[in-house]
Amino acid sequence: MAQHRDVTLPMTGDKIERRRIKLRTTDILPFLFLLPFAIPFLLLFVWPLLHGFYLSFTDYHLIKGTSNFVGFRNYINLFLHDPVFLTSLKNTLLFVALNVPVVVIVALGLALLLSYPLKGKALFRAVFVTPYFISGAATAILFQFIFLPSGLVNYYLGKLGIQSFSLETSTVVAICVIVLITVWWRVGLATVVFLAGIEDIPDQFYEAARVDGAGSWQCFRYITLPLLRPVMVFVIIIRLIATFSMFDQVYLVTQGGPYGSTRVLLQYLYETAFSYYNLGSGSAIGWILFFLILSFSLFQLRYLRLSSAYDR
Amino acid sequence: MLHLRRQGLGRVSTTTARSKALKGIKATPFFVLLVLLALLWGAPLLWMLVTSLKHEWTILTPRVSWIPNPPTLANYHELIDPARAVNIFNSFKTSLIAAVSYTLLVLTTSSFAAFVFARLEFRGRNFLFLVVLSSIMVPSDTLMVPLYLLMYKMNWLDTYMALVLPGIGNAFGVFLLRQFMVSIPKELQEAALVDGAGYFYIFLRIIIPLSKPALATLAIFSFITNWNSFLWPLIVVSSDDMMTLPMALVQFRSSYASMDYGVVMASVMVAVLFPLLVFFFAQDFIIKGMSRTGLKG
Repeated sequence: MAQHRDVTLPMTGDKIERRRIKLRTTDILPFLFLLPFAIPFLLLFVWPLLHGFYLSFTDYHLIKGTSNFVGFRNYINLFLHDPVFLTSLKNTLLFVALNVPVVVIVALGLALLLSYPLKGKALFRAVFVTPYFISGAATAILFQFIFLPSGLVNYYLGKLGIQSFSLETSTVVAICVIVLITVWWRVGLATVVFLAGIEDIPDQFYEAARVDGAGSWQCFRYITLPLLRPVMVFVIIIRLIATFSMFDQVYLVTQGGPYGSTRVLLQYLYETAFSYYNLGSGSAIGWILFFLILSFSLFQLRYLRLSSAYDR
Repeated sequence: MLHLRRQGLGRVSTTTARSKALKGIKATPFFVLLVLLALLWGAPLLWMLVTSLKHEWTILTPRVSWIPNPPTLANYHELIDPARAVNIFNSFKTSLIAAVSYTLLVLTTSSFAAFVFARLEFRGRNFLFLVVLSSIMVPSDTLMVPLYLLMYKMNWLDTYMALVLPGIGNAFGVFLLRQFMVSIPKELQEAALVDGAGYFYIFLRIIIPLSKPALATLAIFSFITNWNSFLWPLIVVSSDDMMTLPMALVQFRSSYASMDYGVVMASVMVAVLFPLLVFFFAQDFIIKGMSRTGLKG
């Protein structure tokens, strides 16, 4: 019931009557206001979600025209009889294991550097954030050019006496390059969030620690790091979600190769559903992706609650 | 009131106190490290710009040169050539229409819902908000197949409907705006009610103007998200006319593979120009929005 209830007004008979009318209208009013969002929410979120869940239990095929309920067969097939799916799952988990820590550590390092009172800080910060606003397609094309056998990186590596490499042959090189591109492209957001977190730590903590004779490592270890924990978990969860559904840089730089070593789940979903038109199986991959992200995020949140409880 | 809001928004500068706290530390090595890292980060973009200004025969030479000698706009001229297989400017137009419509729709739908969840009290509000909030946990990729099927059945494939509509049902904007609207003092709304104003008036004349910073943040990020998206347009677009910029870039690259990287880099320059301009002009604002919300990893 609406706010005006709290307002004390002299209650004449007329006023009471008016208020009752107003109350009745305000009871529908919130729902009227919700309509512009509720309609797209129901049509473009809730319904596709439920429909997709159902689809994942069917053999829906866009070309063959089949749509029979098959129970858990899509899921069973993926996990037991589909080596490409298992490889994509493994690659995705590998990228999560590499990307998330690397991005978080680089972002934390950059944020610490940027938190020192230096000249031209805004300019430096802008340099690290800029790539965040560039599309994955543009990033991929740019880096493909830079990593050409006769490109910029190989030129400088050659100067250092290191043999030139190609993305098409070495699995390890391809994986490393994808991680490198991801760090360059995505580190900006994490850096900015960390920087805000660091600047929110009251200066008195550092001053007190200084008086007690703490060095800069001790300040970092015993003040900055523990107080940044909530920010840290937030950044990790955001990176987890993003990495589980990475696509652009892999699809465009290595096409999932060499030998499928960089094919990720979203790419396999794309191929299954939109190259082979196997929508049932594609939907199942989408739901596996959701469950993976959900369980990893919940694990992180749980870890946060436990550890902060112990700290106090 | 505006004064109050600004105080709530602006981060109190702590630099002076911090420099005192850090007095013992020499800043020079940090500065040098930062300069090196910034050079490393800026190099790919600079290389793109330099390459786009080079003549074809000076691009893939054994010696790397950071100065186009002589500089030329020939690559950009070639982009305009009507005989091109891929029309970058047509894609620019498609992307612009799609991203602007998407942004306007997101702002409209989200602000109404956010107002309800932030400022009105009614039975079931908390439950509804919880439903909306938990939907943020679902990654958009999970909806990809059923949304495609929906577009297919509605006959919306290869139209602006397919480029714009999915994502409108996303609850993120509602959450972001609600967080901001909750912090607007209740007295404003009560005073207006006593004066006989209706809720629509309060929404339009009080809450919306006061929420401008949050609305602008949401607008910028919605625009950039739609402008940069690659996978979804790849799925729903089939004709050259509806091709968005990221798709056009990829098409462009394949038609120019290993031939003329100057033109390819020029096309990438055109595609990144818009987001970069937005970023440079609204930098402080965007940074504030990013650190506050951690929008879209």
